[in-house]
Amino acid sequence: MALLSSARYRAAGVFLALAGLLGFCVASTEGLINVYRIILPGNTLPDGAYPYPPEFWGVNAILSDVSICFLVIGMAAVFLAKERDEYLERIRLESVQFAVYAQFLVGLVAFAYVYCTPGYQIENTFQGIMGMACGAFLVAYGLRYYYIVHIKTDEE
Amino acid sequence: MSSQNVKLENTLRVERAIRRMTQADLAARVDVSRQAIIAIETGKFIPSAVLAIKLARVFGKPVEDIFILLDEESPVPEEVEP
Repeated sequence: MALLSSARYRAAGVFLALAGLLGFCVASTEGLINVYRIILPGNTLPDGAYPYPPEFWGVNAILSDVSICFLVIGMAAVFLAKERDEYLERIRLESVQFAVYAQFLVGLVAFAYVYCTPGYQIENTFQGIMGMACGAFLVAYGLRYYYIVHIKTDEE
Repeated sequence: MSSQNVKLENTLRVERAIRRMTQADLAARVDVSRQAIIAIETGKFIPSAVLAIKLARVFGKPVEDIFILLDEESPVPEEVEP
């Protein structure tokens, strides 16, 4: 209990985690090139292709690392925050357990789909599967926690 | 005695009704969420000893009068007719 952080950082933690997840998805799919395409449209070649600038991979690596930091700090701020009372703490713990199962299931199904479908290379989709599983954890946690606390309990 | 065959009943709802107290009022008195009071009243959540004592103090009764421990080995004794 002593190591838990203040609940006031939870909202900022949710924002940080989602921003980190988005940033990581952009960085892992090299989506940053589209930002370059918008900011510097004049560099587009006559055939429509857009050459990667020399500093692209460095910027992409920084985006990836910063996004992972955001994700870790955001998740810590959410999951290691104090709750108002012991009932909410128990719901949070159960929701984390539920979310871990959801993450495992989504990752397993996505992995099986990619593995069993001809034409996919597992090496190219592994990061995407991991990102989707991580997103499933956050979504499952949020949905279950707020369903139990704000919908199911109020119905009783 | 494992926790599997133990049931903790409580008279919170009755005590609240006697004193015309809402769940929100009781929650504010013991500094927990209203959802926690709902979960305790419906038996979905067993409170800690500290919270149980706080709740009993609100009604001015011993904890044993508010929370009644039932288990399979020692069922509630039937009332003996005089």
